[in-house]
Amino acid sequence: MNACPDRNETLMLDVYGELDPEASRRWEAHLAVCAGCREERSRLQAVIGRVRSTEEAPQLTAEESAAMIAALHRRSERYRHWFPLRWNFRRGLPALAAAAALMIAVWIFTDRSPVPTSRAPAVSTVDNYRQLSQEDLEVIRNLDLLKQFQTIEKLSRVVNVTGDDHPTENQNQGASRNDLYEEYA
Amino acid sequence: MDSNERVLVAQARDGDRRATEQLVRRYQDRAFAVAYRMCAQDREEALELTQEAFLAALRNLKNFQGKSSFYTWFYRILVNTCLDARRRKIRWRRLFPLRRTSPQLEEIDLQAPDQQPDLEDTGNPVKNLQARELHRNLQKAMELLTDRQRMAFQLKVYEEMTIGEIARAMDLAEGSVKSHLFRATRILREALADWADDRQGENS
Repeated sequence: MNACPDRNETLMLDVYGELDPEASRRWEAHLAVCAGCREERSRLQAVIGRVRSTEEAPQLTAEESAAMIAALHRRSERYRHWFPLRWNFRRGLPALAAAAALMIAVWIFTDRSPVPTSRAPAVSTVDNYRQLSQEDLEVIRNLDLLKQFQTIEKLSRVVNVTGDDHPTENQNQGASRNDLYEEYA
Repeated sequence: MDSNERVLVAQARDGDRRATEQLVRRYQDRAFAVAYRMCAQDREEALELTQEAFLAALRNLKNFQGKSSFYTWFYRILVNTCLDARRRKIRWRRLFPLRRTSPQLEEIDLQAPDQQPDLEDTGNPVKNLQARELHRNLQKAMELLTDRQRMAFQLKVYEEMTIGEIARAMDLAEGSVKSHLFRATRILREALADWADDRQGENS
């Protein structure tokens, strides 16, 4: 016959003497009418009783006890010997922290100094190129205009040769201007 | 914590060797028994674990504030020491499965008689033999338990601690302790069913 499944915890607490008086009273009332729970409680008590009585509690011998105590004294003293060093380390910790902070500060400030980069000249060079090309364009534009002037001068010279033997001042200026034009041709 | 123990703890904290010795002697046997049962009755290992637990307690005595009894506080250290050792052993066995770190249970019979665990001598050879067989079966059944189940069970059955005390020693909630304890009881009840029925027959 099996115990009631919903009474498992109560059964265990009873076997281990953990039921409070009120719960114990209700449980005893149940046991009076439930053979399954009664049998299971007996079996569990038998198992626990067997386990308890199987062997005596292991005991330390006098020699083992003395040896353990001696070892504990020895190791505790060794620990206390090292402990002062650890304590000094703790005292020095703020100084270590300050030194570390100083090193970090030095690193930050030295690394933040501006470093000239290779891009700067490239930007001004590009601007120079733009300026030069604009100047060139302007020269080319002026060159066209000057060529037109040269054409007009030639025409005027032709007109003057056919109709006039005395070169004008303008023609002389035109010749000097031609020299200039040739520079740009 | 009684006043005498309070004084002992304070003196031990100040490095008083005699107070330290008295404190250790007070709990030495019980601590050894817990460690002994947790490490499959390996005496050498149990001695080592007991010493480690006491050493940890003495080194951390300055942190003991007296809110609980020294007994509860020390048992927590002892429990952790034993459970940690079990975990290390399991990891070691996984890495080196052929290496044996402690005598296996089946080897106990091959040991010299004076090295076998002490069993109650009833004077009756048959009963003595039955006792040895029960002991063997019990050890095999205990190996079926997880470490926490085993610890909760032995603190309850052998150390007769309350569930509340076990919870503080194992740093678990009482519900968890009940779960471990009840599960351990069920497993042992199934493994030792024949012995339980025999005992019932004797009682009737």
